[in-house]
Amino acid sequence: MIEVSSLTKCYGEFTAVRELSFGVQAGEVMGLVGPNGAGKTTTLRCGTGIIPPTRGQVRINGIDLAADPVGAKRQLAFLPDEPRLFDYLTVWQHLVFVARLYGVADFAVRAQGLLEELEIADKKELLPGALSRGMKQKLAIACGLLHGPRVIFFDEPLTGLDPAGIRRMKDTMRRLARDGAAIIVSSHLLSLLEEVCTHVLILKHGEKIADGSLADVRMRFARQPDASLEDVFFSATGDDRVPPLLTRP
Amino acid sequence: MIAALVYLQLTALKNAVRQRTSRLRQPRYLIATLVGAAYFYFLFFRMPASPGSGPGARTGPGNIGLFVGVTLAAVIMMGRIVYLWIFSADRAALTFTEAEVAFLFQAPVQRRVLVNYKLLKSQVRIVCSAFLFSLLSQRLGTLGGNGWTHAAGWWILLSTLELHSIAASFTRERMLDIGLNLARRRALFLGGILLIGCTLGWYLRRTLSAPTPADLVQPTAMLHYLQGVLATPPLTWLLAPFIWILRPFFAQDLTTFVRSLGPALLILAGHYFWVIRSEVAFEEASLELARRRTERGEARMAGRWNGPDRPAQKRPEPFVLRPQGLVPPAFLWRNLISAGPLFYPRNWLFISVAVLGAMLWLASRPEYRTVLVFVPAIALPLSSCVLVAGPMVMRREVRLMMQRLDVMKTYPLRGWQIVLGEMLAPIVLITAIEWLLLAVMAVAAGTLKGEFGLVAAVGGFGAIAIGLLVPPVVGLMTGIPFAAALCFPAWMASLGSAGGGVDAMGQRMIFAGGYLTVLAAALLPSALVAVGPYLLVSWSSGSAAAGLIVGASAAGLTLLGELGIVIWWLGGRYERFDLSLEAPLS
Repeated sequence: MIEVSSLTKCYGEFTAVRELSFGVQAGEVMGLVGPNGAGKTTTLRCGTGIIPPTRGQVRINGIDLAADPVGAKRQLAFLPDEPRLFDYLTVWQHLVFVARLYGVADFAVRAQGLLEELEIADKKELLPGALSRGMKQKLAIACGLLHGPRVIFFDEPLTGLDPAGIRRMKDTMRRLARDGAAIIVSSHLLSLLEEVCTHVLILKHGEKIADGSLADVRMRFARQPDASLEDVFFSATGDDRVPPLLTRP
Repeated sequence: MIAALVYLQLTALKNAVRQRTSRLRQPRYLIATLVGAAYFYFLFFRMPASPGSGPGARTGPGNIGLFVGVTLAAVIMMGRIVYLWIFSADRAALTFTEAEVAFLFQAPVQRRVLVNYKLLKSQVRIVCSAFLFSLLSQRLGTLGGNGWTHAAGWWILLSTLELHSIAASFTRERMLDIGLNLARRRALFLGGILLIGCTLGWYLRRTLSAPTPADLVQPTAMLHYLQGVLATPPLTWLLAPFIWILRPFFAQDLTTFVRSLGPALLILAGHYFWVIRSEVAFEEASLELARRRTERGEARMAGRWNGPDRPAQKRPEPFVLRPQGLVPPAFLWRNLISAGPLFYPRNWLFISVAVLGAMLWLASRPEYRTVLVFVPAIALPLSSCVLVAGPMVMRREVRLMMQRLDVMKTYPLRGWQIVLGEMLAPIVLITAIEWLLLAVMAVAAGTLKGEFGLVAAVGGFGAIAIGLLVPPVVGLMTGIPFAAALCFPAWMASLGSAGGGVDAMGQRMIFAGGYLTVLAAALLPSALVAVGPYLLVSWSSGSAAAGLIVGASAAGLTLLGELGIVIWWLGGRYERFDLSLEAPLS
């Protein structure tokens, strides 16, 4: 579903991502992790067509993003950490607008179903200013899912959500994967990735450190069999010298 | 402790200057700075000064003029201060940034030190303002004095006003503490001012005679009469403190300036001690003020110019948007909702019919013909203003678009679809206004110029001809902010933010030049294309009106072609636009 090969992105002299290759299949949820400046955001942006790669290829559902950007973008959805909504469009009008952009045929049924599933059907006539942070996030998700994308990119999806919102977001991601979507989640919350992801890609200085199923990566980098993803992450990135926060004398 | 705060202020200032200087290495900032500097140079040093401002003419105004000028300035200053005491409802708050609140309010710093820091900080702004104002005021040679005395005069005036404003807010807070709320304070002060005003009026009526017609005929006579009024003792006593503050600014020579410094500095020092010795809790209100300022800034950056405190209200749809169909109308639909119901098709039609109905009624009444004369005099400048300023206002919309670019770039749309979609709303709005103004001008011109309908008919055809050109011209001008955003995104970001500097002024000048250049470049080919059909049809049919319509149609089609090329180019530019290589827009 998502095939990235030899992706390289340079900003002048600086190489943010170097020769990165990976794939995410239908039903898989891949966690994109790495320390700050590792190249996660650049990878996400290149993968969604927001910025052009310097070299390499991104294929979405078999369609080359550079050769047929419109066709590829029809297959994907990008959900940023901060919902970008229009001040003067109601919840329903947001969906009408997105439906027109994507040419969604059975718009009314799909939109109503999404709003009910996300528990915001009673907020249809409200403007974003009247919605809580979690509700806005739900609206952004509804807009992203309206056209039935096969590939979904989440950027820090839990930002600003309350515990109930966090649980619903995790359930939504799992449900979408069950329904056959390929998902990439970029987050610093390793516990989230451990719960939701089937695969993980660890980046450092723009290069791939590890890529594979959680079990494979754990087997390769963990020193103990029951090591958490956090331990694996520090071990893989070479930052395992970071001491635990609480140490007893 | 004050040393740390001075360090903070000086370091912040030094780093700000260093940052602005270092970015001059980028050509776009260097060019903008040079253009801005040239603008300020010509404004302050090269523009023709007012008559009598040459080197040999710095004698200053005559005694009467000077006296009246100083006293009137004192009256204005007194009015400003009275307004501050009666109508201002602000609590005792000092202006701090949120970072200053976070670092300083919890630090072991005495309140007096905080007040001193705030005063020191405000001096940066006051000194800069005094310098700029003195550059302007010294060009008015009739005021006398020189640049230094003017700068010092401005500094004393602005500093005193700043200190008085803070002291007044502190005192108002104290009044609140002792139970004198806003309504009671207003009643007390208004009552006091009324009492003083009535007493003064009664006294002046008794001692002064009313002006005779001879007093009002000539300016000199008027000045003499005014001097008599203003020199009457109770009024002079009332205005004395204000006059003392203003005298250094109006000093004609160095000796007068030095003599006038004493009382002015005494008042300034008195204000300083008033502020410093006021034991008022300003922290809570300052914290709230800092929060509101930050929210206002964020709202401005996000394009919400009505501020953060006013939530958006739900608006009806301008038309029904079906979920399937052409994409650009979806952007028009969304942007019309944002623009508000005034420009919805039905509402605008109603407004247009009402305005044109009123115009036709006016035109049918000969007794109102003189009123009609004013219509083109108002409509023509208004039309030019809308045509030039309308697309410039679009810069804000473009900035908003750029802030959402990461999401918009994931839409399955070609670049030209997005550019056309975003341009549709301004084209429709500006065209609607321009067409209405054209129709109004055509009715007025037709009624005033021709008694037999022929001239009126030609006037109407002229309006139709111009009307045909309006949409593509507006479209081309609307394309400029898009081109600027896609070619110079960092400039668009700085233009949208508050403040600026020499480089920001230069950027604005360059943009204004860009609008005029594009307008000229777009109109030239279409004008050349229009000449042939106009001459051909006018000659063959013998009708100038028909020639005008055909010529305008040819010009309009040429402009449409140009607009199509521009949208296509901008679309390609949009698709290739690499957000990551540009300065952050949000």
